Amino acid sequence: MSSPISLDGIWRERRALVAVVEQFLVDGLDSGSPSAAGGFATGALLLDATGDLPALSGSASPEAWMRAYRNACRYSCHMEFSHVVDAGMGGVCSQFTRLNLRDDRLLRQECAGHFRFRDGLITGAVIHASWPVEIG
Amino acid sequence: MRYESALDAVALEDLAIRRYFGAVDAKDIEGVLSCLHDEALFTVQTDFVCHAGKPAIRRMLVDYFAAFETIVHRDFKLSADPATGRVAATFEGLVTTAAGVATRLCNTNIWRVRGGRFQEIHVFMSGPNILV
Repeated sequence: MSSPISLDGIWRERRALVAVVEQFLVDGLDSGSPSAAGGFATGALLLDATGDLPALSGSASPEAWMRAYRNACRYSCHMEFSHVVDAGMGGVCSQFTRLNLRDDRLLRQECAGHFRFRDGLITGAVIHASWPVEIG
Repeated sequence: MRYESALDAVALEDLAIRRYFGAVDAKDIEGVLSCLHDEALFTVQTDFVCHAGKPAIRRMLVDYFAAFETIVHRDFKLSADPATGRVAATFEGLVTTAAGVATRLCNTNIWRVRGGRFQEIHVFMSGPNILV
């Protein structure tokens, strides 16, 4: 039987990985906080696999990604997170909903981001987003 | 939604990669369906498509397997989460028609396991939906 201490350690590690992902999506993309890029390892790249936002097509550094995203969207909200956390292999795959305002249209997208970690920092990520649905 | 699952990380990987995708690439419909519960949900999240239940999923698979001569999934990057009964993989899909027209995709799947089989499969595609 596992001790409470080791169990606590497992869940603390899970929460730490999830916090880095949510910090990037919420603090970085939604709020524009440059410190959100601090969760990435040097040389980390994000790949936009769906290309809905032309400015994000292909791979980019997290800083460039945040700038391009913030330029394209006047309002942004990432929410309804559901995470697959593989602390042992250093992976978090997050499923979430994104609201954003583009050309005065409020859009909803269903998204996934698969983040790879090493030593607590993101080394790369692949992002998928559905085609946008106008909701207002 | 979280379901009860007793599969460890190795068993989750085996179910998702070897049993499920092994059967898909072999065009083995019964092998694919054996990985699913009868009332499983198969959604293509990037296209807002949902196939609910084995009969609907079987129909989708019949059309999918007929549309392509070869189907290959490879280069899996897997995250397995036994604590929540979930497993995710980002991978390359290469499908080729009988006329030799090839389509390459970079997709992410998220599976939710109940017991020892999939209750939900969520697919995120990099291109147009081919699972219609």
